[in-house]
Amino acid sequence: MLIDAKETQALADMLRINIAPDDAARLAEDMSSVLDYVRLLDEVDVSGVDPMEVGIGGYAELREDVPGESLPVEALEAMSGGAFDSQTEMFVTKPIFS
Amino acid sequence: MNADEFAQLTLEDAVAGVRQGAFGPIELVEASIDRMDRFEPVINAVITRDDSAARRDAAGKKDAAADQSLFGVPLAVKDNIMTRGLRSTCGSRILENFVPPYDATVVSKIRAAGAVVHGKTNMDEFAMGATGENSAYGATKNPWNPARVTGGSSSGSAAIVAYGGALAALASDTGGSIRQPASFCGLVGMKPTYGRVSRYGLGSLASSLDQIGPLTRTVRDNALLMDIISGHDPMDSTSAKQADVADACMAGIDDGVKGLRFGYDPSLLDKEGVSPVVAGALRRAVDIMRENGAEIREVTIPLIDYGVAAYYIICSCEASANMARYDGVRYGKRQGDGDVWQVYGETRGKGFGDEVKRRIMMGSYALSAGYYDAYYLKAARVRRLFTKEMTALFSDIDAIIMPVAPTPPREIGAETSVLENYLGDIFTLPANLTSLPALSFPVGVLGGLPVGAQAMAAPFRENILYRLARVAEQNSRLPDAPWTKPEPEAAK
Repeated sequence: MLIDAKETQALADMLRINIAPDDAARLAEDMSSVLDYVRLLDEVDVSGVDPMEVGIGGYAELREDVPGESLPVEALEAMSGGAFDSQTEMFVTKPIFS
Repeated sequence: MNADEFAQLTLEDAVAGVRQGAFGPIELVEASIDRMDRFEPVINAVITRDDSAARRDAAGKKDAAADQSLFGVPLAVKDNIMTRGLRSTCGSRILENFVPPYDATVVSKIRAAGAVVHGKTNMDEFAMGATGENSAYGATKNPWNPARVTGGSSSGSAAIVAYGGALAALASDTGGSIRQPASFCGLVGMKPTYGRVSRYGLGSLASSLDQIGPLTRTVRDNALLMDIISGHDPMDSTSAKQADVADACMAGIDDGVKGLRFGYDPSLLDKEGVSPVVAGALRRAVDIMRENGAEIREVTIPLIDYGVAAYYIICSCEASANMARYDGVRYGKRQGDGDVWQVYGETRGKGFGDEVKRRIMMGSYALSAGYYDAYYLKAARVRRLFTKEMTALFSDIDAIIMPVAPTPPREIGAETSVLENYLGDIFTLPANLTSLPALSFPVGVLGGLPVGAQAMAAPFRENILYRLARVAEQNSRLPDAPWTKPEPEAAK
């Protein structure tokens, strides 16, 4: 296998995805089968070809930075999962940095 | 008009009926609710619906402005397209509480045209899947036969149109997610040219491959909806200005195909795993075009055998970057009770399903130091070559006719490997890799299941695809379609 369960577990840890040991073995097998298949690309001669990283046109035009309307309080409350305090108009969340 | 009559209306009929006073927006919404109530317990096409909001919206529609070409018509929207005040989960547990504070540009456009948004449709989680089974909200069943998959990832958008709960739906296509479920459900599905339709407000899977497009029962309805949602949008930096000057999708739609030149690669049908049903449908589509005066030329589609490999590297790499925002702090339902690392791990571990985890990990692996050149860079170079060679084909022909999927829809729950699933996208992902427009359209019904074909054209030549599909539509029959039935079919 191109990638084993131990490497898969290490990768998941770096990506901050908790996975069970059984899942690591299964995911390793799946990913290895795909990565092995992808070696097919070695048959294609791409010398002198630039990579294509965006769709045709390569459009990446920036718009004017115009301030929009503020969101209504109800929307902030709905989005924040209860963390928005409409009295103080502050988001109050449980500390997660120790 | 009762619900069963509603289910058989085209979008054009419905709009005309409202304008002529034959029925009103409220009757259309009530009919849509009635169909959903009857079919949803079996089909599971909808994740979230707000019947009260739809009724209120319909009740507020009194007079149609001249340019409101969707006035009063209920449309469904895939759950990865943001709808203000209406939960948008992307088919994922991690977004089960997410209510967007804004509308995607396409949603703003259909609302401005008078549509009632009713029903956020089921989908493979974050559009990663091709069967509709990878949803955190359960699999969608195919209305033609509930034992079969609908295809994916736009499973619910296809199913709800097929059973007549909505007259059309918006969906997204990153590697075939509109076209393949369209084929499996007897519908018309468009993946537009990259940049023709704004992606603003689309929950991204792979930003250089994603496009939003319509799913409809008829070709004219599809073009009608495309002309409403197309156009340059400053809110999407990849939106194309050419979208404002390209030929309208409706332009010449009834002009036929006489004199047009279509390419056809017969060797595609000899590929391993291509079903005789699919091969027969493609030959039938080619025959229809020939009989109607089109010139058919044999072509060879270059590099198609490498498309799946290039696509799954590029798609996974882009997905791994796009999924980073779901960490329980910026986005996503927070899980865990410890420090920030524990919260991240729990949120992503519990919130994401298997396919999403697999692609994040595969993409991050392919982008990591030491593997970047061998995987991502190589795939991106193959993509450039593929795009150049595919686009060159259109100097001699107007469109290419191809299969959509290698097989008809399989049974729900059938065991398949990850690689087998990926290989099923071989005919649809070329349009995403190359940014070209591609349209899936029905050709007939075999064994009680619909089968479609696909056509691909040069950038911004969607109108050619609609002309082709319109001729196919006029020469095909879809007997016993679910939109003609009062109740869901029994699983067979």
